[in-house]
Amino acid sequence: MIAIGRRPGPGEVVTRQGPVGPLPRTAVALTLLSALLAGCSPNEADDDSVLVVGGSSSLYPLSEAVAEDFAREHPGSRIVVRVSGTAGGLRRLCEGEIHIAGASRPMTSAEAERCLDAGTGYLAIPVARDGVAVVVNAGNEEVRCLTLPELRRLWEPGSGVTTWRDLRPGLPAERIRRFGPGTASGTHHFFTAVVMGRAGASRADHYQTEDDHLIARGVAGDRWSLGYLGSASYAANEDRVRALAVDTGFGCEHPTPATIGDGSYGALARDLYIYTSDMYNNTYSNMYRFVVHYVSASRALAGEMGYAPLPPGEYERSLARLAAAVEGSS
Amino acid sequence: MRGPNRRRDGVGTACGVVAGLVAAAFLTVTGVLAVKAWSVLDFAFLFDPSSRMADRTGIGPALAGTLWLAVLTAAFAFPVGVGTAVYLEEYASRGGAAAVVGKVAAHLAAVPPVVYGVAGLALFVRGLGMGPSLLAGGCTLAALALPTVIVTARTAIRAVPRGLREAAYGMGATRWQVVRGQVLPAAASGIVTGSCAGLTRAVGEAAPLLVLGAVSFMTFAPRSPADPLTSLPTQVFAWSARSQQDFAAAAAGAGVALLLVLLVVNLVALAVRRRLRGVST
Repeated sequence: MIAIGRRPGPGEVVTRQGPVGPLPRTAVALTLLSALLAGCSPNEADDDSVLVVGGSSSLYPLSEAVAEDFAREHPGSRIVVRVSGTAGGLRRLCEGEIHIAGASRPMTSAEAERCLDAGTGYLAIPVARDGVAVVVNAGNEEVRCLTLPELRRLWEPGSGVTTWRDLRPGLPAERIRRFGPGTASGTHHFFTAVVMGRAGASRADHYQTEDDHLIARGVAGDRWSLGYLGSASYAANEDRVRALAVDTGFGCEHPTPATIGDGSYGALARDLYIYTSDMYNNTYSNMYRFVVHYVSASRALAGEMGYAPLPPGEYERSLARLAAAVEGSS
Repeated sequence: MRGPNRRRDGVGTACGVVAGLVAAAFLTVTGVLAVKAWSVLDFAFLFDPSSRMADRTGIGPALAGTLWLAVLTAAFAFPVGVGTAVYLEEYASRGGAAAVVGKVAAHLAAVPPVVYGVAGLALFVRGLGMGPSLLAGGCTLAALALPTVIVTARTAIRAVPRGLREAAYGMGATRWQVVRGQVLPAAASGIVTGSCAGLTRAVGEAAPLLVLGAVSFMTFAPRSPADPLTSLPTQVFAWSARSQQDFAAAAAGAGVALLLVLLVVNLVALAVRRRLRGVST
């Protein structure tokens, strides 16, 4: 599933090559899509339609930036960016409610099947890497670095850790107030898979929300609190919460574009994707341009916004795949 | 010089102090808001689309959304609300089903707005397939405003002197002629005041719209009721959740704009009332 604790070699990105079906299934999806479209006449081009971007809150800052710049370059384009968590976004994409879904994990095979059953072809495009930032209150000077086993003890179901002292003798006996992403969140799915070894396995006696700003706000409000969220969302809230260093096997490292990019943030770094649908029927001719813009602009925007850009060559490969996908369907 | 009836007494002084405090509190809130918003408030702020940068962001979409919502809410809530009130007061027999409707309307006025959001999500967004659109928002806010409109319109209609109706009936007027020619004009001022209160309460709400799925980042101002749902109150909420200080200023700016919109609604109501009074005398 997700390779844990393995430092990726140069140019290799572990999570994307995982044996979990969805990404290789892109080929299946595309074939199916072309077959479907061969029989359909293309719709009237309609640049006036509203393009809705949804899904993961980890990708929200990037989507927002891309949408803003695209709209500035293409006046009159109508784009909306909303948040529903990775699971919610992928479901809405497959149901045709939104056109682009940000995802902080690959589609599961169950989700992929449901999508294809609904007749929606989709394409997954990696756009950036980020890390899951483990955050504490800015006033918490006592805790500096946590290891993966410690994170597991903090978050596993049935965990008996209620105060910081329960975790490590010498820390204050203060109750830990927890804030985390809800179950529709890809960050929740990913974090639990990495830390607990099973996606979705988490204690549930904490405040959960799909809105990362609310996690940051919660952690900022209590001196002994703890939370986790995507590193770009952390970057937007740096002035009120502090990211801990995490030892994932390569020493204590903070989630920065550098450590995420070179793999030293280890298993808590991950690829972020956008999933698109419908691109090849011309209903959203703006959509193809938007997706191309998204991929091209991500390289520069990613670093600026607390993500790490993908390794060299990845963006070009995605653009080539996009071009091929469109050509293949016309 | 004060007349003897304006003489000071303890209660009068106390009430005066309280009234003064209320006015001071209101001015303070408005003042704080305006000061916080000062750095962002300019012409461009009113019309620009959303931006990830606080100093560049605008309330164009949110302002247009709120104007749409006000128009849609008024268009749905006023005719239905006033119609119901007229029916309950002038046509329906006392007791029976009409009494139940009246009671229900009175109680609905006390239901928290967020509950209307949940109902609107099930009924308008999903059930009727409107999606998270301005239309669904307008319908939900209209439902929210409706009880207030009905209750205040009924009160206004009930306050019309019986003699006025009796006189009209005496002249051989039909029931509708009485309602149209006598009751509605006499009650108009109260109806407008009540409807306006219901409208401003609804348009200032964020909670139900957030439940419906309001958007806080749009690159364009909505130009039809089918466009995505957005509004000033939900924009204030979204921006205040952000940590960057500048977005707090943007949130305050959106708040000032919302106050201005509500002020305009009230001024329109005032003008309408003036006119009505002029006509009826």
